Amino acid sequence: MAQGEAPPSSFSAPFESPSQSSVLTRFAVTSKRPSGGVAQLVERFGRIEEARGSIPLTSTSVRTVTRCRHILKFSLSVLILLLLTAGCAESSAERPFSGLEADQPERMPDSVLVNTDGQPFAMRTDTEGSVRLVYFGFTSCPDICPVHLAQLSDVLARPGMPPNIKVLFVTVDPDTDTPQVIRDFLNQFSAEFIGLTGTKEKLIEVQRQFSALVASPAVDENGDVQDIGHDGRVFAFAPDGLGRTQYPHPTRQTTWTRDLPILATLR
Amino acid sequence: MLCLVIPYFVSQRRAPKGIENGRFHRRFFTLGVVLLWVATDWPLGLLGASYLASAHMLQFVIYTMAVAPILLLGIPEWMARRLAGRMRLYRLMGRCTQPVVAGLLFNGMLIFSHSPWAVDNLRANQFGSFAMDLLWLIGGFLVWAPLVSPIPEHRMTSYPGRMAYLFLALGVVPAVPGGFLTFASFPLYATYELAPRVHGLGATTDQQLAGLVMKLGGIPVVWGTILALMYRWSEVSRAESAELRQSNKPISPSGDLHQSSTDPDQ
Repeated sequence: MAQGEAPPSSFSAPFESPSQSSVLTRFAVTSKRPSGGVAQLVERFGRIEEARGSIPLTSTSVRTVTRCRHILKFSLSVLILLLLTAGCAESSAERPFSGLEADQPERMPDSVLVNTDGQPFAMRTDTEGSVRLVYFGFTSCPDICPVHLAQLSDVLARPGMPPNIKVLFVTVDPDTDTPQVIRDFLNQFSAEFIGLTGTKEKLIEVQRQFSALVASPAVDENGDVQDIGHDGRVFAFAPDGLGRTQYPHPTRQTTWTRDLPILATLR
Repeated sequence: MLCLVIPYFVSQRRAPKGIENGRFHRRFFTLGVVLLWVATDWPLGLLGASYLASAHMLQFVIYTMAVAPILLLGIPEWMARRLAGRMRLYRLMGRCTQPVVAGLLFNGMLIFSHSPWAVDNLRANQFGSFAMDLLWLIGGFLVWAPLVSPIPEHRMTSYPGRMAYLFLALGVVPAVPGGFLTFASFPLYATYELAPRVHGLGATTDQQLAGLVMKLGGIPVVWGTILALMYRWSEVSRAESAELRQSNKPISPSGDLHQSSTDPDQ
């Protein structure tokens, strides 16, 4: 559309004052996008603005305003959502442990079992002042037990980890896991890990004391033990003797590294 | 794998008349398939899918640095043209084999397929594992196509361009995730961190090994290829200059070559 030929658009009419209308007829303000280059466009709108003292409100600009309103609404919703999420994140950050935190921390049972040297070992009194990580497993376990122990071994070898952490591995398969077998198994991970065994009845009693699921062997038709179902959690007790948190399988090294130094400070 | 082998040898029998089916192609294709089998099957396939990040990375290096270019070298031009024509892929292939596009796509695939999210979710099941292997193979085809595409017009022509492309697309960018893996203080992938240890190899050590495989595994292939290109470039330049010299020699009216006293080679 050539300049000067087009009538003023319906959107521009309400904003026109009688004194301006004659000036404005010289500058066509249409709802259509003016043809020509960017320079021409800028010049045209500049002149209109100069004549009116304001930016002309064409249908394009109405659409833009509506779009802006939508964008503003959307941005506001996103902001509110982000704030809410941040609030949630803050509430989860308030939890001191990444593991399964106990609502009512219970005192560690002081069960007496037999260590890999064949000596009696009191689980609480002989580990006084340390973080105790108690795990019920068996040496021929194909997956969970070695993974838990390997993770702990890797984490405890990290620089900056507190020295007062004891890992207590209690066998649930005393027939197979003799003290020597347990020692050889634990030495694959760390010579510092403590292996414990006892009679079948005693071991069941200890599992109950720790509120662990009592291990049950799965036997085939010949009566041979195929596998042993057992509790996959590591029970963590702070140096004050209270069971603060538990770590199921799988627990990542980042979780251990975050929690263990905190546990070590609870005296 | 059979989906690759059977159509290849069937179409070899249906080659257009007058075109020689070179042993060269068949040998390369067979070698590529054997390498693909080595990278996919037991033990490397199993270790890479569930146990060791280093085995996973070795698989990646074999797929992208060996299997993909060797398979491309094993495809004759007529077969590639027929395949592209039937599947209407010619234009797409042309676009994807532009160096910038190919480099970006490959490195995007590399970063995605080595992100903890992708590894932990895709490696969790067989289908995902297969998808990851396929992604690596396609990525390998893409990144090598500008250099060894069976369709000549999809190949880069300039030697310096080829060398620069190889260095940037396969040498520089893969070093970044490789560095992340090597220097990360914790295992990044839950799949390998929580898997039973193989020969007592710790999760962090395994990851560092994976980073080294990623950073160093491609070096012999990339630099070997760059050296080969450099050698070929020098040969071509020498031949061209000799040709030019030959054509510039003036011929005497009697038809004998005139030996110029200003010849710099004399």
